[in-house]
Amino acid sequence: MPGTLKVKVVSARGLPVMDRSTDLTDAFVEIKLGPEGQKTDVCKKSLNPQWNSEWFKFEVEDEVLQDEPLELRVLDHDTYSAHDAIGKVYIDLNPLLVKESPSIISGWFPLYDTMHGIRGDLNVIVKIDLFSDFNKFRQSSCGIQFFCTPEVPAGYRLQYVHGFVEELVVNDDPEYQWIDKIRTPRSSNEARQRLFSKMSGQLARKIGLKVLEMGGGAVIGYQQCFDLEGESGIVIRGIGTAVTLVRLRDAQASPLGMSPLKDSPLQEENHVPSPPPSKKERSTTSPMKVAGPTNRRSSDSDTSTTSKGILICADEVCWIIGNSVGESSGSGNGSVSKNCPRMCSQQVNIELMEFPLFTMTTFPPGFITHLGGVVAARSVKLLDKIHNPEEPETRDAWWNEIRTELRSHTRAMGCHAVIGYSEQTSICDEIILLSATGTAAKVNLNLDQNQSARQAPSLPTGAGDKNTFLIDRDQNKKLFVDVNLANQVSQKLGHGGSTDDVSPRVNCGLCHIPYKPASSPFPINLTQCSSCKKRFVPDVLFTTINPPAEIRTIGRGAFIQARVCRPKGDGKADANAKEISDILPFLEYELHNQLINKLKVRSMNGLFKLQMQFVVGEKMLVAVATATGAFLAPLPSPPVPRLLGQIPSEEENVALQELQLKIREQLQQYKDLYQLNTIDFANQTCQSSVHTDDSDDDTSDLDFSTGNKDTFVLEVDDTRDSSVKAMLSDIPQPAGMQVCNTSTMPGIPASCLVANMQMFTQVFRRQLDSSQQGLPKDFSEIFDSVYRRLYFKLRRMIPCLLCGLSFSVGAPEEDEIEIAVTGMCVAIEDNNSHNSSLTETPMTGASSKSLLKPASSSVVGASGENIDDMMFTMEEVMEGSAASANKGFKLRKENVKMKTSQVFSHQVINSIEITPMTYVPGSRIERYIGSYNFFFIRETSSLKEVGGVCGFMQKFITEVLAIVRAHVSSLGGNALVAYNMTQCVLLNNEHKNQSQCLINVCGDAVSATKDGEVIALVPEVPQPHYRKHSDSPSSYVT
Amino acid sequence: MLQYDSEASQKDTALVSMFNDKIPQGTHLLELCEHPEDNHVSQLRRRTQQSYVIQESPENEFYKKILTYAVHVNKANGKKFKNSRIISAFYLSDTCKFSSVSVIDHLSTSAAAQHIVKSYVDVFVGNYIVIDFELYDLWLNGLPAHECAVTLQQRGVLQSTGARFDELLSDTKDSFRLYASLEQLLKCPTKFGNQSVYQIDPETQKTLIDKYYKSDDVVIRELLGRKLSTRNRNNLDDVSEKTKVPLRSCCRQFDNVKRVFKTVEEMPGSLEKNIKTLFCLSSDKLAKKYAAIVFMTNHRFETTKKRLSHLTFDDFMYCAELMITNWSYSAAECDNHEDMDVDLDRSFLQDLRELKILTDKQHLDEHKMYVMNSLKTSLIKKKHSSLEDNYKATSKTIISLAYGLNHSKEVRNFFSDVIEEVIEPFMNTGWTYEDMKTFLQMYKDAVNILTFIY
Repeated sequence: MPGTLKVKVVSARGLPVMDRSTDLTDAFVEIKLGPEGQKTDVCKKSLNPQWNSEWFKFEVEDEVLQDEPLELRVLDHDTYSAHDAIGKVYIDLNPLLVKESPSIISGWFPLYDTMHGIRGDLNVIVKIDLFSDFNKFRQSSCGIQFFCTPEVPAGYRLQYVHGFVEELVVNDDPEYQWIDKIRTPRSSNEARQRLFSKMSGQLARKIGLKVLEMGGGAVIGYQQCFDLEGESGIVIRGIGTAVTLVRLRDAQASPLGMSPLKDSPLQEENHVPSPPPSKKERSTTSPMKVAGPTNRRSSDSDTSTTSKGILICADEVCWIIGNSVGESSGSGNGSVSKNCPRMCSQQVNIELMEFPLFTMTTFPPGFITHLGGVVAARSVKLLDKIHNPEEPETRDAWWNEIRTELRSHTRAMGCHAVIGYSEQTSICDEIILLSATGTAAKVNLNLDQNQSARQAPSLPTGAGDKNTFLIDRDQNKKLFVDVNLANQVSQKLGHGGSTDDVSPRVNCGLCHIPYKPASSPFPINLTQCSSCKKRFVPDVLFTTINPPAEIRTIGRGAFIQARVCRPKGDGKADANAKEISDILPFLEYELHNQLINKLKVRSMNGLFKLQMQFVVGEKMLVAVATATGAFLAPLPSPPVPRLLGQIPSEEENVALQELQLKIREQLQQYKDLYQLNTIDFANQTCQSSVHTDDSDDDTSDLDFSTGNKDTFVLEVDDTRDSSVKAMLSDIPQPAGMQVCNTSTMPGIPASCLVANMQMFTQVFRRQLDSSQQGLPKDFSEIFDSVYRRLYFKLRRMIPCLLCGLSFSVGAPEEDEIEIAVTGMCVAIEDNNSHNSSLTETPMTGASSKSLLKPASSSVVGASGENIDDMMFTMEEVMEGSAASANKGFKLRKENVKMKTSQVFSHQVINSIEITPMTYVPGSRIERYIGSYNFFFIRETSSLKEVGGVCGFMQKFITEVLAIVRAHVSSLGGNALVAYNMTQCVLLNNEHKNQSQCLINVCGDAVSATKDGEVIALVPEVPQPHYRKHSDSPSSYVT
Repeated sequence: MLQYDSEASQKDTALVSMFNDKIPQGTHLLELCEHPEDNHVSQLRRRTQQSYVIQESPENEFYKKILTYAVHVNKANGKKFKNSRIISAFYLSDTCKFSSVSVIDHLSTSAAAQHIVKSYVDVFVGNYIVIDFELYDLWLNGLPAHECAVTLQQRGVLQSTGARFDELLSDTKDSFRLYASLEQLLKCPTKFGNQSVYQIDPETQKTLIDKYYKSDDVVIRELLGRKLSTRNRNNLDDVSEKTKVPLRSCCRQFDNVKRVFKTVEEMPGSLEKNIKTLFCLSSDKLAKKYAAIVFMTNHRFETTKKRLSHLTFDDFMYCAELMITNWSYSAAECDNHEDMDVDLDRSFLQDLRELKILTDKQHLDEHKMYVMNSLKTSLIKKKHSSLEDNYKATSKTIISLAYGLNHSKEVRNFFSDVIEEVIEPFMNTGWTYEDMKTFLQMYKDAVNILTFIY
């Protein structure tokens, strides 16, 4: 599909003064796409030049469109000397290449200069005309959508999963080329930025080709990583899950999989997409809105003529009946698959996929049948040993090796797929540490709703702790083969499972071990599932995914972090690599141990979204694991941690007992905090029929263990043992603030998440005392500081939930640790608290009323109070972002006016939201516009003047966010979801007064509208208002 | 940060031996100096500008320790003590510990200061700009981050949150950096409208601007009528000392006035409106204030004379406002609105020249008669007669004041002349404000009744 790119440069504003004599600027713009360049006239003597140029046209192959960003460069015209650069705008054209996306990019883009930051804005309009080209041998992959979102995007239905896609592109690092010695820092940085951008375009194109080959139409959970290897070049890696998506008709598909509303069946487009690129998904311009379950029938009325469509539809209806009557099977499935010969992209059999890796972290209900546990593989390599550094082969081989290892672990656990898969590297000089992590699982690619809807007793059972190995039961295999025959995929978005009520779709089968209990290769505590009492479950379950709706959790989730730092020698090359690989298992063990301990002291038995990061520093190795713990109902209650130690003296004994007391206190505190008190009681009574309870604890509500043998014993050699201390020494979050790293908090229903308040990025770097004794202490202190700062900074937002918390640790210098934290602060509203009878904890006491009176009235933030004032002045902001003056604008304004009467409005959508989550609380994602991915480089040679390295970093991150917002708004969006700062490298030379920083960010630009429906669940809110918010007022049904 | 000039302190090397070899390398200073008093810190900070010599007194014990330790580190590094600068001390936590000491050879102060900051990155950036206005006020007052944090600590910010001083300080520094970068926009608030770097909601924006342009009357009183030159800016310490307003705040107010003045000086149209729109001020009061200041500054009214020292800014503002509304180009009677508010209406001034006719014997007598007659009832006898005696002189003074407005030099001295030549003589004879008011009213009204013969 070659195309014509049309660019119009309208104007610029706020340009810097480039000519000292006149205090003005003679600006003109160079427009470049690939090698081709054109330019505008010079607009003399103006800081706000108006060019209003004609359309600049570029006729190019789509390969170029995919690879190259459009580059606009504003320069100051100089008659005698070289023109001075003012700033640049890079525009990724890929969003224009996808059919459903906007056909125009228009708006104010910040002019970014790598040496000076943002200097003014440029107003541009970009359009593309594409021609169809059915050349079989083409190299482009236009039309493949990329989603950073690690789940099925809101408003889509997952039709087929094609499997794992990966690609790797290698290039020379311009910074290490000879030419870098003679060129200016600016041109060096720009060369690098351009290269990064081009490589990322290439990578996406190549991945797209692979997806096309597989018959898919989109990539979800797309992760892209840069490895700055230094001398040996730059590697860019991309992984993702190739899928075929179908756009749902129903615009009501709320991003949160938990809104009770979504129990109503969703309408789907009833046609089968033929394989891309000729794939035509009927994009719905005016999404039909269905207000309630009364509309169920409309799903067949919308049926299109293809037989397949009818069948899907029939199946849908069948399911509805099945659900309401109680018993029905998806008998039509087999025939469905046979009835569609047109389909080139049939669902591949799981067996044929050979242990697929899925990069998603949230799955449609029914997708996962069993969770095994976390599998990980790591490998240390030497970069200087690459034979052919320019070629990707060696790196490909490395990764293949690791993935194979991971797959073998998976098989050993009796699972056949890895979900929540991610890859990571850590580079230190010539050492590279590659790691891959995921959760071994059994999945059902066919997503039969009927299966998932019922708690089918025939579902295979099993359980697996991390590092457990076993072979499938024959019975299991058979069952899966059976299911695989069916080729129908359907999705059920709705789920009310996050509340404490047992929803019919709650399925304890997920926790059952996927192997035979008898053939466990090492001792593992298996107990009977406390939900079904039939199958076995492990005592703890670690996963790298978001909490699936099927698993019933009790109480609230807890943020859990384990961290280990170990000094290492400064050996060279081989010796160094050997030392690192020797230490790694110990690090991993310690990390695991810490996680277990912290989990136990919180009386929990499951971990979600476990993210492990291993970092190689010059003189140390760092490992950090972050996860959200929860109490999984099917798993046994965790035992009380008990201390055991050789007691040489009476003194020691006393200390030991004190410690035990402390643990007990802590335990109780945590139980209060996470609301595990009463629930456990209930749990216990129902268990008592199974187990004999002979606990020797006197206080009954403290008693957690179901028997002595289950007691969790901690061996203590020394009462000052750091491991026990670490278990107890977590910085408590302030009352009213909840923390998790998952996208939603177990135990807090989605309806309680009211609005996004603040997306934050915190970068923290400190020196470490590198001595043997000081290291661990300093190390944990640094983390504590990070938490304290975070909590203090966000104290005014209480009550709130910090979710999507992501830690990125680095060891930039010999004795330095750098921590970058990103996360989202979401306003919560505790409408749950009066339901649950026990509200002893301070945080549940934070009622919705106190929500309206934040701690100090002196803070008026964008996200804060004083909403009323904001309403009326809102237009000013809108003017600021000219691009948002689209049709959605009026609508939003109307929205806002209505909200003045509303009490629970935290934030008006008048600005661009950036969030690491896949949803915008209180809003509904209407449309995905395109993924954004850019690498920023910023350098300064006057560090002192910009306020030191802190000032430099603060400014830079602010600018990066500003540019991201500008791009989102130019596409017609108002939010960026699945935001991720994948890289943040700060190089600092304060003696030379220089600093350089590289930041890579990515995310999906979306257009979201305030969701009245979800808010309407809040009792105090008058409902009728929200009806008017729909995009197409004529089509809603009440 | 304490900057220590080593030359001056070499005599203290004896002290050093005390600690010599006892301190293992790498030991943190906080172990060395246990819990110094709170005030040490502020003292330390105040010493930053000058080097000083340690004296043998108990309260200097702390500094000695720092020095000693620094010297020790220096020795350990095998460097000569001579020619090196000792930069020391990081105020670390609420227990006032100092954590780091370094010795740097031959470095300029700033570079040395940076060395200490090296590798300390601590930033927090949000998608939305959230302003803590309590902190913002402190920043506007010109308090450095440390003192500000201490102030907040004293106000009990930490008690309610359970955080440590460390976090408060970090938060403060972070916010101050943000404010400093916002200051670029605040200096030209119209830029807020078309910037995309900061995502600020309009309400916050408004408050930010208003607070930034808020001024202390006492400070402005000192600046009134002064030439807004760099020299005067450098002399703001006096103002600061006199008004007890921190120097940084004085400087900001001075800069604000200067900026507003420079912007609207040459601009046609209503002064107040111009200021309001160009600086996005939400309150009329603030705009009025600046209009008065600009007006006063433009005419360089003398306000610093001792005779005028009892007048407050409000007094001047009242006068300036009246002058703008009645005498300037925006005055109702003025039919030429093209020129600026800042200047007095030329034709009005021309007209004032014609008042000279009142000093002619014939008109003077007639005027006097009218005035005295109408004042008979309202003034007590004594005052009436004294006025009658001095009428000629008084009237002449008033007329010449008006006449003098044509000369910029006399405009400048307008206030002091009015006080000296009109108000003070009347006050000496015991006139009250009311008396004065009626007299002037009559004086003015009488003119209308007069028939003039040219």
